[in-house]
Amino acid sequence: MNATLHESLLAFWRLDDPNALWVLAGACLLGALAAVAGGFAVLQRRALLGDALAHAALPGVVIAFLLTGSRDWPVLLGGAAASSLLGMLALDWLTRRAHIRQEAALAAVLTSFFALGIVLLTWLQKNPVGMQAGLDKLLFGQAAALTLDDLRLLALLALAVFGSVVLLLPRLRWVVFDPLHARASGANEAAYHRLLTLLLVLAVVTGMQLVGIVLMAALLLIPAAAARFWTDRLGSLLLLSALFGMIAGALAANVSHALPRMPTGPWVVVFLALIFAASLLFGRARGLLRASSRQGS
Amino acid sequence: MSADMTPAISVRNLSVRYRETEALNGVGFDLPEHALAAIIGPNGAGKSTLLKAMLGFIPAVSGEVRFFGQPLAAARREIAYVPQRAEIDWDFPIDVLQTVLLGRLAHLPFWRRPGKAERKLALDALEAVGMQAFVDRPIRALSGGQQQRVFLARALVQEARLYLFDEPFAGVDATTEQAIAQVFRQLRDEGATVVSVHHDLSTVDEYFDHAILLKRELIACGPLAQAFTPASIQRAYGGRLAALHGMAEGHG
Repeated sequence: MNATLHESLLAFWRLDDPNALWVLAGACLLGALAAVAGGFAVLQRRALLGDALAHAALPGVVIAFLLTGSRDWPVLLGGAAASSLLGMLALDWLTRRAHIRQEAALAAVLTSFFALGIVLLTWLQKNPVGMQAGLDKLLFGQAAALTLDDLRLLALLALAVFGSVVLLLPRLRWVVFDPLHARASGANEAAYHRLLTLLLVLAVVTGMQLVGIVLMAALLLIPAAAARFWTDRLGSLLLLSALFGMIAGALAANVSHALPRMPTGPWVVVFLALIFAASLLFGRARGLLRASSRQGS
Repeated sequence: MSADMTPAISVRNLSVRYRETEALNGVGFDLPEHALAAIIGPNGAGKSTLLKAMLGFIPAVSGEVRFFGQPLAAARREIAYVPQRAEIDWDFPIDVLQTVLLGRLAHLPFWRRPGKAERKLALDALEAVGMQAFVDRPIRALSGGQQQRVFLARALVQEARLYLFDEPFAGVDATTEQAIAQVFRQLRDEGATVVSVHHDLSTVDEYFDHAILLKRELIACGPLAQAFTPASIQRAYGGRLAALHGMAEGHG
């Protein structure tokens, strides 16, 4: 480690570089978004669905670039979302119609979509236009590439997502905790579940910029898993998850800004792992140290 | 028109298939209002399936179900359903009061949160099932019987006309069993109709006044004296259990 790296890490927090500000804000929003969507997925016992959806998005990103020649975020997001939803439909069909077990169907969809994406990506990298597209950055994330325009779009999306989660929280609690009771009582349980699936797709296709496709599962699942050690309430669980996602995102954005060539994803996961370890030990609701102190008393 | 003449539940020719196997075949019965009915039958007889098919969770191959003379969609608000304990994730981050408040959500528009009035109802219901001391506890910290009583309280705040329970007595302690039985009677005496999937033949006489006997087809339905007879038990369970039940009755 040399003095310049140290300095540039610190310089980030002075935020006199406006770019550092976008990157920081963007990474925080992306971290929070994925953590909240992932929190619901954990509670719905479909934690790995998000991972599959992320992998399924890759071919869509590459094809969107091939068709439009544009690297603009909305274009790539559109491709990612389309491909991810296609993966979701394939998964649904395999489990419901073809009666394939959930985990086998997940593995089949996740790997084949991802493999197709890698094939397209490798082919694209071989021609000069594609080499500059930087799509390979999506594999492990690159927060430093966030621009002000990206941030504007992201802020709108985050506002819509957090607003509806806050508004609908009692109903979401209901349909996730006891879907049969909600259905019997006339709640549109299927619509709420579709909404949560949509939220998951949104979190996954945007979160790629931060953590990348390969390590997406960590950003979706670790914040909620860590938050569970601290609280037994859904509202605080989601809030804490969002906070953990933001902290990990912000720290990783710091590294990414100082070392723009280094992928951000692994750093996000390292910081999340630290948060998880601390929660596992010290969590107020069910941390290990708390449990042993209880036995002692 | 007299309300008492319209059955609380009216099922006609209800058939359900799981893939290739037949789960229910041509089930039909009328259950009058103010009945306290047990759905009885051997394992795999389709007891839970009957409840789920009536509520539209499982598509029926054929058949019609009406509640108080209306189709399901029009009657949902009148129905309180309590699922099997095994279908619930008891590790979910939710406390006792929040769980009971779920019973009021169907009565509020989707943007409204439960307020003071709902809270009052929930606390009263928790008191009625002897759980008022557990209001703030996370449900994961409760015993199986306590969890079942919380669900009972949730059903109470729904203020329904028809209560449908899926095996409420499964794996609960004696206190809870008594609490459930008492709430059943209270609901019936207040004018509601209660239907419960039930496993224990020895307590049918004590807890219920009607029986629906099932073995993929309907065996019998009616007041206990007509439907819960040694002959119909034998048809549902085969000879051995009917003899056992006869013995138990003889001793009691």
